[in-house]
Amino acid sequence: MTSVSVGTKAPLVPYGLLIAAKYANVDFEVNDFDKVVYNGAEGYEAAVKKLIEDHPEVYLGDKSKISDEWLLPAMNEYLVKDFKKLNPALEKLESHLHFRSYMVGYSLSLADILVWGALRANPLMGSIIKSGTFINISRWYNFLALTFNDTVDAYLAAVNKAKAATSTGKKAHSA
Amino acid sequence: TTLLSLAAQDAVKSKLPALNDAQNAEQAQWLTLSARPSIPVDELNTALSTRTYILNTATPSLADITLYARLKDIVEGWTTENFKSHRHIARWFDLVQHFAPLKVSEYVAIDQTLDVPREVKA
Repeated sequence: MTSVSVGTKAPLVPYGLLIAAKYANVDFEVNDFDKVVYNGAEGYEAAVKKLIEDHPEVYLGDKSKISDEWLLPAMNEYLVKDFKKLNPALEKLESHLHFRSYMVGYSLSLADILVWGALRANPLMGSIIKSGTFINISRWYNFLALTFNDTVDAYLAAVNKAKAATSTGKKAHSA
Repeated sequence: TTLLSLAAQDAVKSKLPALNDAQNAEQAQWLTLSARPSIPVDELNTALSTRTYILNTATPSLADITLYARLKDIVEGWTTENFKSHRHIARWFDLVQHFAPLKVSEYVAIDQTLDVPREVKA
């Protein structure tokens, strides 16, 4: 069974990929390297595309695949750590969510997963969400956190477990 | 009231989320408010600005379904300007009316692409 392999030394956690993988019943494992790999596809963008190809069910409620419009922004614009570049992307999302509770239609879809995953991974976003400057984004983000936090927690627990195992291993070695 | 009885349908009841004590208390307040002759739409709109569903649940609660049923006639009569000035109710109403177990004969058309100015935090 193919699983997602996440390097704990990667610059950003691929939360979008991990959440999508959950909906495809694909497991993940953490490794002590700096990239993410899924079924031979290396790097966040390639791995996400490969997962979608193998498991189109990750579109969830989005039968028309409108989520595709958000794929590239989710893997680029919403991950940038420069606020001047991030801001126009957030303005666009804020306005998209004026009359929408989900990114597409009236239920969860791949667009929610990937854009949320990008914001969750972006270190600039914690304080922006908390401040409520983007009122619609904060509402949407906190709502999806009710569903997605399980995956975030599972990832963080796996990282802690791996780190504990490594440090125990080192101690045993030096002793 | 046909709509209110929807909340009692087994398909709906079986899907209601579990609530904690604070949510139960708040639900009781909204149910009381929803029974008043005049419903406080501004208060509801503000509450829904930070919550997708009124009690912060992942799926609609009895409070959402009851408020939705109570508001249906009112929202049906709304103009574009009413939708714009109560944008959070409009978004939430549209979500609840699409909740699968609710058998809604007539959807109120809500334009998701309405152009409104960016809301600045009060």
